[in-house]
Amino acid sequence: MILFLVILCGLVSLNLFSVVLFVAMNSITKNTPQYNFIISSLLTMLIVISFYIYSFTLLQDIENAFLFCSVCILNIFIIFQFVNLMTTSIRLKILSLVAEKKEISEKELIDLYGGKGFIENRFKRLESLSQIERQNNTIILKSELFYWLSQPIYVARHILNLKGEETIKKRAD
Amino acid sequence: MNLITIALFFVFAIVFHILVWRLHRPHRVHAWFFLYMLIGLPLLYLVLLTIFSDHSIYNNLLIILGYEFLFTSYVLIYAAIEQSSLSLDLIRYLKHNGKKMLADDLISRCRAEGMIKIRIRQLADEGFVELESGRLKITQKGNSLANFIQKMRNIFKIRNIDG
Repeated sequence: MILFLVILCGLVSLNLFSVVLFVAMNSITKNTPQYNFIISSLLTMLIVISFYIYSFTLLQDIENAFLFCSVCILNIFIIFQFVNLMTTSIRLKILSLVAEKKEISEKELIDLYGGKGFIENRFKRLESLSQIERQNNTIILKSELFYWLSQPIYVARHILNLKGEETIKKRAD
Repeated sequence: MNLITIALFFVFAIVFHILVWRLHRPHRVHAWFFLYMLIGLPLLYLVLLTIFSDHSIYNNLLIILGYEFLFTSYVLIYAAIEQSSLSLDLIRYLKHNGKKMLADDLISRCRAEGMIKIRIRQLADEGFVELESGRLKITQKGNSLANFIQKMRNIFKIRNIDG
């Protein structure tokens, strides 16, 4: 039971360390929040790995040390998703716009948010992640990393019998 | 042994989730995940193990902790499975169409308006906004969430929501 409490305390401390580092980086640098979070998480991971080695050599309890590390990594992933949600969520953006104006027509909202800027934002994000490249007026797929990483999502959608949205109009040919 | 138990528990939960989705997808997905997968199933497991197994309570709690984190991660990924991401779809579209395309052509094919309309309906269904004859009004619930997000953005020093 004591070990369980130690694990929980360790988890809370690592979270705090990771979040404080992230907030500090966000205040100082002009990087995207996602980038800052990855850097602060990597530093936190170093501590996790140190704990893993320490546990392995001193406690001789590889399974619990590994379990602790896995929980830490999952925990950091959960916070990352939360940060990602706060910066890229369409629904939160709509909600914050409506909250700001108190009342707005659907058409006004679409004009304000859903125009060319909506897609340009995504181009910029993909460009900053080195996934696409813009040459004059042409968009070129630079890396296939995200394509392959996202494959499980499309497979899972198929398994769960979900249709997804048609976000891009397909070519007639 | 704990790790194997967590993995088996998670696989069982995922199989159960797939079966439910293929038979009849619940209307309130997140409430379903929360009630059945994050509270109900671990509680049932804990009760069964306390009665039938000689595992220590510490071991059971560790297994539950591991499972909770694993399934919460899945719930967060589920949002991407259910709702299409335009960025990922853009990459997929480029990959399947010669890896190169005119920006204007690509922009004209994107259905941003449709995506926003769907999300407005979802926000209205969940009671965060009121939609009456084409006008949107923030509700008390929506205002509370918007304030909470604003506070979190201030704490995390996140400057703006790109959307």
